[in-house]
Amino acid sequence: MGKIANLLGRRRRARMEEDLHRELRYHFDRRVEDMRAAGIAEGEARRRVAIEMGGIDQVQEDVRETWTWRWIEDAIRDARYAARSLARSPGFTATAVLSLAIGVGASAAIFSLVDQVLFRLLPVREPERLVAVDWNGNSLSYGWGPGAYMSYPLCRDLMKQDRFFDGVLCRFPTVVMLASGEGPQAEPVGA
Amino acid sequence: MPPERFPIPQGTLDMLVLQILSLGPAHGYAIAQRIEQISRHAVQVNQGSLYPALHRLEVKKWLRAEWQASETGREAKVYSLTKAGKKQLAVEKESWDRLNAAVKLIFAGNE
Repeated sequence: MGKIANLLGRRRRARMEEDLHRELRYHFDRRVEDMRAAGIAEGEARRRVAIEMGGIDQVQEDVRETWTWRWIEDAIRDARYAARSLARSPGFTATAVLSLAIGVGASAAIFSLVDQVLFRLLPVREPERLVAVDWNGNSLSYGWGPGAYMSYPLCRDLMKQDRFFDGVLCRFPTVVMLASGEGPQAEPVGA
Repeated sequence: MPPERFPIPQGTLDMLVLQILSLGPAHGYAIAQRIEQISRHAVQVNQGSLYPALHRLEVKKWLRAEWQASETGREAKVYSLTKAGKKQLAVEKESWDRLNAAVKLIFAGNE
């Protein structure tokens, strides 16, 4: 019960608590005043009223319980109302559900991509030591891709050295022809 | 010999509160006082159940509450009957009357 009560807006809740405290305080003081007017000493009057009210804490707890029920009943009523309105306009419901599905799907796809590319380490041993070597020479890529090609002899020298890198891998994309039945088709193949 | 003062039977407090408020708005203390006065002190309101009842009736929208200056000048939470509350009072009075008549019939059958 306490958990659900926590879900009530904290500020609204604090206000309700303060109101309840004031309300009970008013009752208490009025009763004491009336008893004093009837000739009972203040201390005795206070004692009697406290007994009569059966413990302010208990009363407060009982009142709070009615608030919790209000919260639950409101939530159930809202959910029912929402379900009814959605059932009344299936076109709108389908559109809304579809938009949400596409939105959630797209976000999940983008997230898993970004997660893989940016946040996960590459699936190699000691990924933090992996570097990409770039070559600042004449651009041979004709505006395709970022850079210049590294010559093969230079690449071979790099692969042989053991001063800077434990190992070097060179790669070059190329296009090969693959024939299957109806004739040759261009297929880019990584090499 | 029956006791001089009766605690309010379970379930009837709500009806009595609605009835008192149908006479005019009042704060909790005044409601308790009026029930005792009108019943010539035969009925005793348990303060411990009065406030939960008031809040319960407010939750059901049968009562509306507002802070107002009371007869002593101090602000008190004053309750008044809503339209739904009036309807509910009529329903409860009706079922109370029927129960009462039934109980009387049962006693009459014994004599």
